[in-house]
Order: sequence, then structure tokens, then C-alpha cells
Amino acid sequence: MTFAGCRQIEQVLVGGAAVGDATLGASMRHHLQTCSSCRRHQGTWTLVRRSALVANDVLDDLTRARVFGRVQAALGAGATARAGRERPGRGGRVRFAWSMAFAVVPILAFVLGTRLRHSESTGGAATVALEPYALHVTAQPRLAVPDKRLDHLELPPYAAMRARLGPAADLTLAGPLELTVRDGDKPRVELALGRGTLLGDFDGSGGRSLRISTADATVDIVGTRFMVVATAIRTRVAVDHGLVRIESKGRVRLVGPGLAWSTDEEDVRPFDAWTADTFHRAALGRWQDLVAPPVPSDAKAADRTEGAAKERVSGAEDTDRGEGARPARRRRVHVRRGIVVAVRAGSQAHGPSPLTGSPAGGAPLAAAAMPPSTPAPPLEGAPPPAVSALHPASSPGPSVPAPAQVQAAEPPTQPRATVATLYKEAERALRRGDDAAGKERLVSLVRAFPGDVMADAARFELALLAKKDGDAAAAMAQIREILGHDASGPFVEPARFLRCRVYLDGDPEAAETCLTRFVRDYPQSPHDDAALRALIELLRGKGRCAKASQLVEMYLQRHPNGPFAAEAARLRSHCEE
Amino acid sequence: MVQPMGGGGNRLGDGAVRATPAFLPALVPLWPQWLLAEALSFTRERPAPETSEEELVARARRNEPEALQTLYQIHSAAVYRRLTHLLGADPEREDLMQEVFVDLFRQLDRYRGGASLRTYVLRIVSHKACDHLRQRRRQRRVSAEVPRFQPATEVDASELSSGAPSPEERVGHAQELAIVEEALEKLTPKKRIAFLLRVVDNLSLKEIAEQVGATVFTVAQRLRHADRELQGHLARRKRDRP
Repeated sequence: MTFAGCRQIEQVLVGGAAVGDATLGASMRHHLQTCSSCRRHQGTWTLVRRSALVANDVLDDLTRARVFGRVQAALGAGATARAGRERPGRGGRVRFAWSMAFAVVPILAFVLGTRLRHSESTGGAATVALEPYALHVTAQPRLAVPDKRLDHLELPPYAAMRARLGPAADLTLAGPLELTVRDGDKPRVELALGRGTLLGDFDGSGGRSLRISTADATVDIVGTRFMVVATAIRTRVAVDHGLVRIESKGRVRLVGPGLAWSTDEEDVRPFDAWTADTFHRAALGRWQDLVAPPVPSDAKAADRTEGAAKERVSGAEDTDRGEGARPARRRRVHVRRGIVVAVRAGSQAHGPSPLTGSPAGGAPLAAAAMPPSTPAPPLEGAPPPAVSALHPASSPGPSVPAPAQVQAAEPPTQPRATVATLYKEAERALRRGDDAAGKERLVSLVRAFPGDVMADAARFELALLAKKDGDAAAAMAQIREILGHDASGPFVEPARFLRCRVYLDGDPEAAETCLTRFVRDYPQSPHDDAALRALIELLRGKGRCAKASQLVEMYLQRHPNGPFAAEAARLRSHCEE
Repeated sequence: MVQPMGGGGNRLGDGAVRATPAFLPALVPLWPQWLLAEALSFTRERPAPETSEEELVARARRNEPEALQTLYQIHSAAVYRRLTHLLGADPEREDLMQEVFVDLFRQLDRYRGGASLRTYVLRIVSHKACDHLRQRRRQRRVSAEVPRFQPATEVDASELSSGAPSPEERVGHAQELAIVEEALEKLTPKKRIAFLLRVVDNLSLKEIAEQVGATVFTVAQRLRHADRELQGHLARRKRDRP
């Protein structure tokens, strides 16, 4: 007997299809029992089914919400990235082409005229500038970006930004970072990267080239996907795609795809797992992962040295900016207490800068005032900076940092924890049954990244653990946190259902209200079935059969084949007040 | 009988709820009438705000977050289940699920409504699973260092059969499943997917053809070859077994 024949017979008998003829049914059963081929097939299929079903195929709330959060993030990042280069649909293309043809001549004339006038009046002002379109600050990840073109940018350690540089370059920038655009009006645009991490995707087909100058290297890029991590004493370049030429202290290196070179090493080497992961995360749109956790607000040592830090930054501004920059036209972005401020530096050239002046509210921002020579990468797994970089003597800035400040700015010797690492550690601990360690990691995650979507995942986990321990108050506190700051996040629906379940453990009145609202607000929820059932049971327990019947009808309407459908149908016909 | 709510735990806590309170009658005190009336009022005034699939899709095309979330809620469990059936307990299921929904929401304009949205989503799942299986095979071929994915380690034999199997039986079950998994891994992704859709998800040839984007004849061929290869591999392993 063939596979198909045996399968068909099995499907008829096991799959529940009706066999009209009793004799045929019996004959099929007899065949399945006697045919060795069919028995062998059946044995294999049973094993295959077991093998496929042995993995847990039930989607739990946490995974569901977590994945949706990532989907939202990916869609958001994609929409942002597409916003500037969206093309019209097929239907409108012809009309669009004609419109373009008529419009292109006056537009060209206007643009050329403007450019000529502009260059005459300013002597070659920058035409390519940074155009930020997304900003992530770990304390407030949903901040808006300034709608301005910038030719100078400073980011604190806990901020990351995505920005376009003309039509050909897309940059991901992670703080602490200082970046200046030079020669924006020339065929070769130059970026001066004082410090920080820059991931770039540059398309050189437009005829322009890109040069990145750091303290000790010059990186020429023709068209590639690459990363530059600059500190005061060395520069590390990694290339994901394309080719990059680096010149440093008389040495020239060509770095191809999959390779990296650091200016304090001789040879070009394959890049490490962290670099690969960084490229991968950036490609997936998870660029926010590049940001370090925010500096704790209770960093008193930093508070004490606020004045010294301000002075140092001020001095650094005066001396560090290159000779090619144009201070009068500079604009700066920095983050002050989570608020993005963009100013024209030229208008405040001799007054207090936003960093040096007193911030609104008077709270200092120690992280933003880190010295320019502080080693940059706060990223997970990043190569540890050389010790000399921390020493005040090696700092090119004019002022000597106070020892306390150096200590506060000193990066940790171990790679700093990111959202992903903290969450994975928590998962591992919980899997091996170490709830205490798991909770500790989750609490750390929430404290370090309160605005991240994974913080809600952690809060949800903490609520589940608290519920498991019978601590309803703690569970409710976590749920309130989730529901308090975002009314439409991916964890709202699971959290609302969890709240109902917590109420069910001890407060039936609140549970009824909660479930009622839940089934009203989330009719398509995977928990709708369970919520309706619980509500029906609650009402029946109270003896309000007529009221429960309405819900039974609703249940049967929404879940005609649900696991409770048979009992619901029975309840409908046996309502006893 | 309804299942108790709040029971059952999986991975990190008690995630998916499939249960119900047997203790509820004892907990229900005398509720105020107004609360009950308020709680039930919506059932009379606002019958379930059911939204048709077409309407949801239209709203999702306009990027309405609620519509996107509702579509996700409707289809996420099926997507995850299908991915699990096709790939086993692969740690990358979450990533693939994310990719499936990102693709779905980005390609909604291409969805013409010929098949149901569920079929459309599961078609994306099949393609993603196929790509992922190809990648898995390639990685294994290229590098022996890549740890082999072993669902057999997750096997809890007590879940597989009723009664209490002896330790020997458990080991036997686990070994059998490991052999089957090994045999499935040797199938090409297309054959594997067709076979699993037929045997595990009980889809008809026509349904499989719709989901993998092939003709019924091609699917039948894939099934025949998959079955033959699987039987051959299992027979060889039985012969080799001491």
C-alpha cells in the first residue's frame, strides 16, 4: 500500500470523517490492522507527530507581547527609514512622471540659483548636514528629534541617534559622541569624529565620497556598511560590506568585509562576535540596543564635581573643535534631563553654553559632561579602553579633571549589561529555578532601562512571579506600572488580563468588573475565551443565571468551537435562577 | 468541565492561561446590584464589537495601531504553533515570528483577499520556515562547531504517553524521537515542510499546495519522496542499532 493510500484510510478513520458504509469502515479498519506497510507508516507518523509536538507550541503571554513590541519597533524603524524615500504606487507613476517632467526644470533652476547665491554670499557653506530622524535616550526613549539640520552633534553616553547625511549616508550614532561635519559642500564630505561610535551605511554611487577623521586616523569610505569607534588614543574600524581605506601614523590599511582594524594594532583581523552582533542589531533596526544605561540620578560624586566638569567641557569646546569647522554656523544637540535641545552655537559663542549654563531645574548632567578623552564605547563586549586613556595626563583637554570625576567617568572593567543580556540572565536564572536571582536581574533591568519595551516584559515577569508567590499587592504594583505609562503598548492587554486573574484570587467583585471590561475591550484576545468563562462562572456562583446566560450567548457567538462550547450550550438550556 | 484559571505554568511563569476556577463559587459573595448591572450593561447596549477581517485589514493598511494589534492577537498563536511544528523547539522561533508579522504588515497592500488572511499569514510562515531550515542546513554543513539543534534534550517522556513509563521506556522514547528528528533534518526543507503539514497539521494536498506555493502534483511528489527517505533512514538506523 502506498503512502497516500494508507494516509487516506487513516485520515478517514482517525480524522473523524464519517464513513457512510459500515462495511467499508470495517474493511478500512481491518486493512489498517493487517497491512504491514500501513502499520509501518502509521508508526512513523505517530513518531513524527510526537517529535513535532514535543516542543511547547503554546504561545505564552510574555512571548506574544514581547514579539509584538519588537514588531512595532521594526515597523516604526522601517517607516521612519522609508519616510524620506517613499515611491508612489504603480497607478500614479505615469502621472507622477509627467508632473516631475514639468516641475523639474523650474526646480533645477531654483536650486541651482539658490546654491550659487548661497555659495557667493557665504563662501561655501555646508550643503550636506546631519538630519536626525530618530533619537533614543534610555531614560525617555520616545523623545522627538529636533527638526533641524546640524553640523555639530554631541551625545551623552545614554543616547543614540539615527541621522541622514545627505541622500547617500545613513548614520547610527551612539554616545558619548562628538561629531562635526566639515566640507559638506565638497565632493568629499568629511566628518570629524572626536569620540564615539558611528555605524554608517554609505552609498558612494552619487559621486561623493566620505572621509572620517579621528584623533589618530583618517578613514576613506567609497561605499560600504562600516563602523568606526573613536577614542582619544585609538580608532577601530570594522567593515560589514564594501571596502574602507584607513591611514594612521603613516600606515595604510585596506579593510574589507568581515574585517576590522584598530590603530593600536598592526594587522587587520576578522571582526569579533560583538561587532557582528552590533551590525546585525543595527540591520534589524534595533539600534537602540547600542545605548548604555543612564547614569543614576543619585551619582553624588558627579554632582559634586559638576562645576569642574562644566569648565572642562567648555574648555574642550574652545580647543578641540577642528580648524576646518565653522563655529559661527554650528548647531549643537545635547540632551538635558531628557529634553532635546538644539541651539545655534554661533548665537551663544561667548555666553554660557547649554552645557555650561545651569540646566532647568538645577540638576546636573554628569554624563553629558564627560571629558572628550574618556574612552567611548560603553557597549557590551566592546574592546576595553587602554588605561592611559583614563589618565588625566593623556587628556588633550586644557583642564585637569578632578580625581573624583575621573573615577565617576571610568568605564567598568567588564562589559556593561544591556537590556538583552540582563533579560537573558534573568531567563536563565528563572529556568533553573533560581527565582531570587531572576527577580534581581529583572529589577535591575527595570531600573536601568525604565523606558525600554523589555522593561515592560520584565515588569510582567515580576508580576507573574509575585502572583505565583501569592503576593497580590506586588503583582498589582507591577501591573500598574505597565498600564500607567502606556495605554497601547504590547503588554497592556496581557497585563489587564493578569490583573483580572489576580483579582480572581481574592476579590471577586473587582474581578467581575475587570473581566467585564476586558471582554468588552479585547474581543479578539486569545484570552477572551477564558475571560468569558470566568465571568460566567462568577455570575453563576452568585446565582444570576439570567445574566450569565447573556454571556453564554456571547461565548457561543464568539467561540462556537471553543473548549467551553459544549458546556455553554448545556448552560443555555438549563438555566436555573 | 472548565479548567481552572491561573493554573498551568510554562516557561517563565504561568503564561498561557487555559484554566478556570473551581473555587469560584466559594469566593463569590453578595455583589451589589449596581455593580452587576454596570458590568453587564455593555452586553445589552454594545453587543460584541466584532470587526470583520476586511475592515481590520483596511484599517491595518492605514497603519492603525489597534488594527495591527488585533490582527496580531488573532493570528499570533497559529503562527507560533505552525512554526513550532515545522521547526521544533528552535530558539529562533520568536525572531521568525517577528519577521512573519513585520512582513505581513508591510505587505498588506499586496493581499488581495483571494484567500483568507490566515492562509496568507501561514504562507509567509511556510516561506520563512523554509528559508530558516535552509540556513540551518547550510550552517551545519559549513561548520561542525555549530551546535546541533537537539529537540530530544527537551523530551519529557512522561508527557508523551499516558501512564507512568519506566526509565528504560523513557530513554527508548527519547531515542526514537531523536532518530525521527535526525531523519527529518535530512529531508530538504521543502519536503520536510510538505510532510509535516500533511502528517502533523493534517492539511489536504490542496491546502499544502496553497501554503507552499506549489502545485498539488508537486506537493504529492514531495510527500512521496519524503516518506520514502524517512522510511529508508529509519530502517537504516534500526539495522545499525545494536
